[in-house]
Amino acid sequence: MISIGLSEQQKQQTITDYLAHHDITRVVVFAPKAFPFVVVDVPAGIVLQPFDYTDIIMYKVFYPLLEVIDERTLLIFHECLRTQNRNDLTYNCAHHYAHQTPHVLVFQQFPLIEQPEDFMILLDYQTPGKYKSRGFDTSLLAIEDIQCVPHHFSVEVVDAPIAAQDRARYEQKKEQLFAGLGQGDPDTIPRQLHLFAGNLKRGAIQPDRQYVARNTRFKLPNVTSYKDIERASGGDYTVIDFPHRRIEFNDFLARTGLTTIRFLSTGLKVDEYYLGELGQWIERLERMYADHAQTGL
Amino acid sequence: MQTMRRQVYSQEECVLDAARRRISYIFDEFEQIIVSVSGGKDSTVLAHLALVEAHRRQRKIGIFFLDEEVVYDSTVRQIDYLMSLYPENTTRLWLQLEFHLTNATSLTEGQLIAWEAGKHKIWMRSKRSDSIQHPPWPRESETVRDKNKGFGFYDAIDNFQHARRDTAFLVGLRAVESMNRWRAVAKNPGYKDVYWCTAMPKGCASFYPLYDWNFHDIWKYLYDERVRYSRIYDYLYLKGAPLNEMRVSSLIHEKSFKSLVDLPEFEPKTYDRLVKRIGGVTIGHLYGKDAKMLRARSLPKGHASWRAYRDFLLATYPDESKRWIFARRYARHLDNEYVARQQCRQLLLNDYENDLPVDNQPDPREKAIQKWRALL
Repeated sequence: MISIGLSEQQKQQTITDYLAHHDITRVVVFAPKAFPFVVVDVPAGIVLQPFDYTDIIMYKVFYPLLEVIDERTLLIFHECLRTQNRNDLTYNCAHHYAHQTPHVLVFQQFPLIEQPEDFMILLDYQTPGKYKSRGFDTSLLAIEDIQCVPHHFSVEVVDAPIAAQDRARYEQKKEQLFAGLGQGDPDTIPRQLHLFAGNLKRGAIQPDRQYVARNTRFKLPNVTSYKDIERASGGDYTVIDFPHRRIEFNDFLARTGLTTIRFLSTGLKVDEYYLGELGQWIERLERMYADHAQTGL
Repeated sequence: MQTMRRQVYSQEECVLDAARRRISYIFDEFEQIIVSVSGGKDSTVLAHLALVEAHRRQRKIGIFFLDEEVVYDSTVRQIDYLMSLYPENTTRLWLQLEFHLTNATSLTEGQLIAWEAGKHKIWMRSKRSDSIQHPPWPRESETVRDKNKGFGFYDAIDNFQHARRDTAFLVGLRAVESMNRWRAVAKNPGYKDVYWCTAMPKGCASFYPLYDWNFHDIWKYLYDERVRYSRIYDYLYLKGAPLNEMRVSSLIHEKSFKSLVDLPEFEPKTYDRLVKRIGGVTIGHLYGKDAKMLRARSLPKGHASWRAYRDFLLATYPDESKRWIFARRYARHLDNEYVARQQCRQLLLNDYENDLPVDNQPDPREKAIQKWRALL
């Protein structure tokens, strides 16, 4: 079963119910370091083996596990949607395990990283080989065993006014980046401009609010980097700049449980671009929730 | 509509049984059979399968090896081993003739003439007493593909094959190694209703009995049948080479020069002899895997763009007789950074034959730059 957006308690309950109704002798849990997971209630006699998701590819983990996983083993994949590449080695190694048992539980906060296509990776954990090389199709949400608790997001833009002089500096920086690109990757330009725009927001940072930025360059006690935010830390953060990779922002949302994303915006084009990208991501997420509700479980 | 070709697994017959069946069919259909070998794992398996069948039927088959001179010692030993497995069923076709080979690592010595007359003192090794040392085809009908290059490796193979009638040539081609090559040869049946072959003139055909074998099928066969294989594979394995680089290839041409990097470690004596034999070998050894040099992966300092670097390389190309070939070819190409990088690679590897063709496309970076200019 694939479970989307469940709380900690709901996950534990799902596992308890599953163990009560199936003849399981071993539970193997895969979870990335960023989202550790402990199964609280394991009946006596059942062997519990937790593993870091990234260790799957190591010989010392991969081969011994292949030997012990059988049709009475329950595999739990917790927040293992870490790649959009269906040829990724770690994910493909995990498939080998899933082939050896019919008992698989998949827990994930969001059904996608960036695109609905990413959901196929979760499906592949649950149904290894069944949808090999097939693309995403909303009808799959009805065919397979999927449980979904939607998390809805709204965006609030907080103005960080900047002077005309700063706008001119932004334009100058932009031209400088294009001119100096040489053989570099053009996709680095928006990343660098977004950081530049972030620097212009320093004056708008309020001492009594919590902020999150791509790194710790502000050196202020109330500005944290995405990397430093602990799991389930809560907190009402305002975003100064977005991380470069979408998965990092998803992790941030999953860790903090934020539902209103407050963004400090200069109104510069680069901020608008990132804001637009976030808006589109929310739309895609909502469409998947709606498709799932419509295809009916 | 383009259909996707994919591997379909049969539960009824394994690839080994299928290959044995195919080889048996070839023996039923042809009196003359010649297996081409290179010393690699695939041709080793194919030769072994064919020899076992020849032995069972008490027949003789030809084992054909076109000796490039500049090959690993392990390759020479492997060929010797294959030709000695069933001597009573083997006709040795070990060719040691003069022909031209591209030398990718030297701009001043762009070609090697294998077994060049008068240079016997620096040959990699002496010719064998049992080898074929003169062209076994009529010289008056000899063909050459590229007169600029001269009589080359494929010319020797073409002429050897065209001089024969009603012969089955067996080749260890596997589809997973080169889908494009496989697609090219498997479009139509080459002999009767057989698709795993290519038709040739004078009643001959080239057959690929291992076409559906995978990498691990080859190794399983070698292990199960206790067949000896080239030691280079053991060295590559110990060095941690990935599967796609586990190959025993030539040492100096534009697609194989990377093997020079490890050669002194694997076979120091071969390397010593090669250094004396032809120029550019040390360059290949030092820079075969370097991103800035022969592979042209990153732009060296001192050149503002790939286009500028390409112009520099073309202007300073040392062989006047070949420069026009590049200049004429590049005049037909698009002028962008993406294309220019590939042109630099051709110039650095002395690829006047266009064996590493340039993908003449608009630069994908330009599209990205335009997009960001509009958005930001």
